[in-house]
Amino acid sequence: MRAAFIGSHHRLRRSYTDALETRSDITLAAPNQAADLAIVTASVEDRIAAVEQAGAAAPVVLCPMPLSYGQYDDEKSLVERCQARSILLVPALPLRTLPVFLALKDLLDARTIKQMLAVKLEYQLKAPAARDGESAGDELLAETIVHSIDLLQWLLGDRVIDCYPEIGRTDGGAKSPHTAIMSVSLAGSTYALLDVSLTLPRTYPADQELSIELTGTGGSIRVDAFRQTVDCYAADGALWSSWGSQPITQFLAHLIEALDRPDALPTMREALAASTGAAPAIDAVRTTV
Amino acid sequence: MALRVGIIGAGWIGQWHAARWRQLPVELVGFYDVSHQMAEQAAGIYGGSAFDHVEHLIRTVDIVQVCTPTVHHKDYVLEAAALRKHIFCEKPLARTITDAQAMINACEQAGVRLFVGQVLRFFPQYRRAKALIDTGAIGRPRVIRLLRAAGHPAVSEARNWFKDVEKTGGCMLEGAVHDLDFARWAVGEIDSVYARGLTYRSDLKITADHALAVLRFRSGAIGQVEGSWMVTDGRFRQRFAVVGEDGLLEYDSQPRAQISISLREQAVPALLPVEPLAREDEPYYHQLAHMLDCLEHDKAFLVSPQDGLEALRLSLAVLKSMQTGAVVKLEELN
Repeated sequence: MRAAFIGSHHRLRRSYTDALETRSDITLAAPNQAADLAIVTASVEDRIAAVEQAGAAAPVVLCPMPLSYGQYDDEKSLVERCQARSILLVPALPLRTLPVFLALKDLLDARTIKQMLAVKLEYQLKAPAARDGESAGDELLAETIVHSIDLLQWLLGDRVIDCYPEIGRTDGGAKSPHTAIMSVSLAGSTYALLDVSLTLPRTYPADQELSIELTGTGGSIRVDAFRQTVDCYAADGALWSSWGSQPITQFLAHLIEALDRPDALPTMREALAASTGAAPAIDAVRTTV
Repeated sequence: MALRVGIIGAGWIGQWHAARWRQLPVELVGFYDVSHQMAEQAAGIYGGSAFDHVEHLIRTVDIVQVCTPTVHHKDYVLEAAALRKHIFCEKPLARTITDAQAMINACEQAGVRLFVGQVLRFFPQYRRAKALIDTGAIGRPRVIRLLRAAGHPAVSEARNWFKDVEKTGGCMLEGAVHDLDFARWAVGEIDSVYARGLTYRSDLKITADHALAVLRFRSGAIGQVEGSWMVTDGRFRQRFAVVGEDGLLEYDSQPRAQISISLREQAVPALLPVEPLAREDEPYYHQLAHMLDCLEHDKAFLVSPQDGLEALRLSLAVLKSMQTGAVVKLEELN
């Protein structure tokens, strides 16, 4: 139903209710050629099955992260099965392709601030709408935690080895988590604080804010990923014509461009490492209070 | 008759206060410093005398202001209390909880007032935030984010004591004690802290200190505090963000850009501090004016001695967590 609505809204030629229906479409050439690329957007609970099914419809599958809530053996086995069938699984880690982080990665790889000592990353989003369901907040927070840990590991070329999380929850009956503040250690002795939250007010002029501050023995770098440098103040108040890059658009463009050279894409191995690093925080998010 | 003020410790902060006392209706009697030359220099700039003996200075004044390195606060506060003088003690109140408690007890027994210089409560941005929170403008606070970043203060021979963690407690006690006090003032009592940092690292070849702490409040709110003495371009920065159930409050003393970079080996001219437009908005002036007003009209201080003690306890909890690698419950720290 939702697929049909979205398909119609975006004027797509077809829409399907599940992967089986996609495969049985007689207008398509053959199984595994229904599309060049399948994008999985299923809920975390259904992702392993959805990726498996998508692999039957397309040779390249874009997988949201995390793939599951702690079913690491199943995740590993899925990756191995897909590899055996020559299906390319690409983890959806859009932050890596933002120009500002590519520039930052170059600075860090060149050891511009020498030995890395400490990192603080803050990632704030708006909470999902009530219509998205009760678990949408948990899921978005879990995804954002994995994205943040992956960004940290990728930028530093290092690995999270320890994570202490504190979870902030709303008051009242449901006690939904809204913020995860994580103190983490990396294998190379850098320490970091990651503050991920769904607390931006509805009225906030941007959908997300992401800043990262890095302190090294040779200096420091501060990045505000979505903060444009020119503010516009007009008669009606403060206006922002744009708020920096569009991570999803950026990532999809990069993905299409890089399909012929998969080594330019993030690997599932890296993505699973981010999920493992994020595990203590995601477990804490999902712990019922 | 104007109240008479004497300053013990004629270094940077002592002279900073002296400039504000001169704008107030008090008599700045003079300075005492272990370096008599420093006391003479300060007296030459701000007026008053350079005293040879601290007891002589204390006996001559109504208010004693203690602006020495933290480890010496206790001795001077006890001496001033014994001579029944009101006291302004710079933050942090002491280096240990035992010392701080002894100072509070001595002042209570002597019947003198003790003011602790937690000046952040007098910064217009922080005062405004506290007022907005108290009036429910953003609903109940759920998350607080705090930052205090500056260059390392050990920039001269006289300030080398800042390198000694046993004397200073590093950036989380000397600097972020302000933010921890604000966190408690604005959001409420803190239950536990967890921190990682450089304060106890001995392998670094540079003079550096930095720490990141995670806070859990009794109310269920959470927070994070960054303290840094790693700023290389001379640009001091402070920041807060408070997320409430119904809104968000944010303040950052520096404008934000997509990428900002500062390098240790690249000389960048330090920006000059900008004086506030109105004298009453200047936090250090406001702090002293508030103290005088409270003494004159027998009103409660905005910062009680117990507030100073609790801010110290929080900073020490952060240091203990950094040392042990464990979560520290505030109630365990006596």
